[in-house]
Amino acid sequence: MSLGQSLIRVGTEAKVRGETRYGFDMPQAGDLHLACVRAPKAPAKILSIDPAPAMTIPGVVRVFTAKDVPGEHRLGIIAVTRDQEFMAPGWVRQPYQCVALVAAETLEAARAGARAVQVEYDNQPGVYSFEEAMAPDAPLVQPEHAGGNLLRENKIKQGDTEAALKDAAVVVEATYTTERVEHCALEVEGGRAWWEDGRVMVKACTQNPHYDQADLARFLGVEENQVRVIQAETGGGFGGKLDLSVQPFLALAAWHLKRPVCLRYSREESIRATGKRHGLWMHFISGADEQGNITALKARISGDTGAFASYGLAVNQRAAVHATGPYRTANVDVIARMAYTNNTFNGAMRGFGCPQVALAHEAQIDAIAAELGLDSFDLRKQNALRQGDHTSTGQLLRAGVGLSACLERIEPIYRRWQAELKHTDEYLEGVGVGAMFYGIGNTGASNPSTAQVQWMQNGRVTLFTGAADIGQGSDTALMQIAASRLGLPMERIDLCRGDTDKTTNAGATSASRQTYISGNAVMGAVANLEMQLLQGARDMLKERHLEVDLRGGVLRTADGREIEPAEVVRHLAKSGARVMGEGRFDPNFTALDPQTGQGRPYAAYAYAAQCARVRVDTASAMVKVTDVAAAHDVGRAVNPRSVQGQICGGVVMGVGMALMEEYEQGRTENLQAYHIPTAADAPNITPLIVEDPEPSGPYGAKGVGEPALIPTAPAIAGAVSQALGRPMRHLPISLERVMQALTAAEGETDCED
Amino acid sequence: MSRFLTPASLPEALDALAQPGAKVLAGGTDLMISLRQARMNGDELPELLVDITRLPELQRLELEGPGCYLGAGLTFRFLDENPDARQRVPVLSQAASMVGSMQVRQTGTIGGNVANGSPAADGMSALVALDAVAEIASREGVRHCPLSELITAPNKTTLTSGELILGYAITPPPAPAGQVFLKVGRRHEVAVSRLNLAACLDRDLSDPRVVLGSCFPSPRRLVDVEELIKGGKPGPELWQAAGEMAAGHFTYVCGWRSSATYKVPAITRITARALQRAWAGLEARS
Repeated sequence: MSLGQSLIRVGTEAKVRGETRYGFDMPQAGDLHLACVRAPKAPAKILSIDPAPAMTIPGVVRVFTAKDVPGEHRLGIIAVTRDQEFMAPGWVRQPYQCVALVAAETLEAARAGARAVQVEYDNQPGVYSFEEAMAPDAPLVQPEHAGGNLLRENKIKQGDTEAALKDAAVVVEATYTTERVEHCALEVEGGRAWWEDGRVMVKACTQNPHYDQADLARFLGVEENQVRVIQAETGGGFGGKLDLSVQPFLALAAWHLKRPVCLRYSREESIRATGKRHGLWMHFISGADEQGNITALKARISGDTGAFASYGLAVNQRAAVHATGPYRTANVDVIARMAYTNNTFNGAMRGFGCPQVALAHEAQIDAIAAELGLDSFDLRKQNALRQGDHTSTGQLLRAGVGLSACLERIEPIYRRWQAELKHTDEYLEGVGVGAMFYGIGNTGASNPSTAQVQWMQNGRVTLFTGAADIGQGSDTALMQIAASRLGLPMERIDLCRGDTDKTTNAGATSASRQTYISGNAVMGAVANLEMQLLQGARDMLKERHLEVDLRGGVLRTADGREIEPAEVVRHLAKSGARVMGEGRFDPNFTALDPQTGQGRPYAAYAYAAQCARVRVDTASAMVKVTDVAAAHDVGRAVNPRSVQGQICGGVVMGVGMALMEEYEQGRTENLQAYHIPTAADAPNITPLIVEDPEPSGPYGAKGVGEPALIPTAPAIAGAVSQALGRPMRHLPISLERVMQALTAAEGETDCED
Repeated sequence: MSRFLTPASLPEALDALAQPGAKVLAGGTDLMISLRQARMNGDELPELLVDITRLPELQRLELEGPGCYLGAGLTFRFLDENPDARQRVPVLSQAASMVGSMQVRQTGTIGGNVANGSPAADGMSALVALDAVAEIASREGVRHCPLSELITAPNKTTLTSGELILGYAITPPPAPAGQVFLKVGRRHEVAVSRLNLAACLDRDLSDPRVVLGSCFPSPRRLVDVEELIKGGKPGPELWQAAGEMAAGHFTYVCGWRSSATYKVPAITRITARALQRAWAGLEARS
């Protein structure tokens, strides 16, 4: 059985050989090249667009503007906030919004054309922060939106928080902030579109081909089947490829020109034009009793989603739901508010608000421990959510709550590191802990996946899935699940993935959901296939009451006969039938109450605990994360090496978020100015897999993609705080912030905060 | 589109560079980035790229005797790994080991590092500490220019089109000397220096060198600090005083900008740390 084995991921050899062709690699000789004309400032009224100067450039074929959009202008992945205009219709809401699109025979001509298009703007007053957006009489970013500039307010109310805070033995209060973060997927956005049989074909990198198809059809004003989307191999996404990027431009140009077209962003354009992680402002007041049991949390969270909602609703809701962290908290009062501004938009990024609130809930528990003189690790164990506990939304956790197990796995490492701590003239060391829980799948909303499994006449089995593998390994995981459920070796399984003509909707590759949700859809498809095979065998043998089952990839009758399923498939083919099992899974949930936030938003939660050891140089203020131990309850590791890979990748991304990543519009827009960790910044990582089976998961599996990142930055922040003897509440923990704390600790200046 | 030429001899190279629109290609680690940017912006590209990596004159390495010389074509990786360089000019080897990434060190040269004129050039700070004088050739002849005079402003030099840096005559501090290079970046590799510091101390403190980079239009020797050290008694108090004076010099030259809240304490601490390590290194040698 392949499940639980560290099989080498499918497609690895081609990647290692450099043969894999990503969306970025799609352009072919003879394609027309596209280039976007982007607005410098926002908001602005577009007074005129003159394509004539561009049309005089040799090779320029056509200049498109909003007038050329045949369908709806406003697109977006969350249906209730469909508000992103890919071709600004008369009004620019955010910098870098596209106002015109140039198609040309060469890339140089396309770029020259884009520079030549004359656009006249009339700049308008705008809002550029949450506070400005919420001011009375603030100019509206999206006048069409019912709530003014307030995108959404999410509340979680449970118990009597004010009373609990009054009764608490200790109350800790602090403000935390995080900055906007760029995904920096290795592959920048790219793809190709062409016209074939009266339809538009789009092959590009994406995390969600079926969503792309629906929105592109809306954009072109055609039926969905007039657009075919094929997911090109996608070199990382981290949420940045959930929103449409190059696809609308490709589709629009191919639709009008009936010629193959290609578009790929430069790194700069990728950074400017795609969403970012929301920076959040978080004010937390926590109460605990004398023993350190957390009794209350009052939290106020605010964020800026930019000019387009993108995943702003999801981030806001998730931040609210996860604000307590993975700790029992009987009295909760959380209000999270997200506003539109005229900044470039923020959207989904690995963890949807949870990595941000984790900074706060982990620092708060450290602060409670410090106030009470208790051990902060013990306090985490004591307050950790356990089976039978309720979350802040009132959800009863029935099973698969592996947080205590995660904490137990890292505790010996944490204790050893604490015992080994060294302070010298040149450096200070510290150790910190981060823990988290994370709801798998969309929050309080239906998010089904579907899959098919077909037994072919040649004896091979094909798995059809719409789930986009973007490098995280869902291809391999889903095939392992199918193979194991069928009792076949992996070599017998073929994969058909991410093509809207051939596969059905699996939903987004986001929210750590594909192993759990699409895995369950695959389980269902195999069960359905099995039923068809058994029925087919009875039909073929003309024994209506034959007792038969499928074991080890062979049909076995109760009286000892063995039948190759392919025989049954060939038998059924004579009557034109194929043997294809259908599966569908939608997690069990209830929507959250809009006033109290109470409900069961997720069917399953992942849990994790990490500890980090850092060394702070006392001269330069540089921080080196030397070690991270990361224990993750994944329910069941379908492919342990894949899980370890996700953990290690998440930790390194967490190092970036903790220490260096900060997107500043107009300033950090290439990889020289925007820093992400290099191999030299990566710590020694000890990934530890905890398996507390999730009863509703395929073979007990949950997800790990986002959980891998979430505890890292808080653990590092805790470690630096210990090293400096001062709480570090603002990310990134830059040279400047560390130096300020160092000098303050030595009494040279006062520390602001 | 640019033409590309790989001259086999120095005269051929100088002839090529005398052509209008010619540009030197050494390691290419700065040039390629600017060419990419020019292409993206639709700006003009150089007409001729002259690849000077095959010229033997630029690969000279002489570290024995009175006339020490470093060819401009020596790469950071070479200087990081070469045993003679590590022995005689460790301040430069250490700086070379911290430049960019392995890929950048593999191809980037100390000629290009200076010619590019970045205030944050790590190799440049070490070369200034070694009192480097650039030997610059053109079709018209050869001129010599101290590095401190070669850079006039960030990314601006007195190099004219047609000129090529052949190498540097250097004067290492009297042996034995403790030599230390420290660098601060926002991450541990592929980082532009927030600040860097080259420090050399001889046993008598007769010829101390303290060079601060990434703080001024180009890296510069802190003469006041060197004078302070010359008359001082080696030890933590002196290193601390030197650090404070270095920071004071920075504030005096650059004024109090927002970056100073980091840089002033960092300069103080890094300077003291470098001097302390240079002295400890010297002690260890005896």
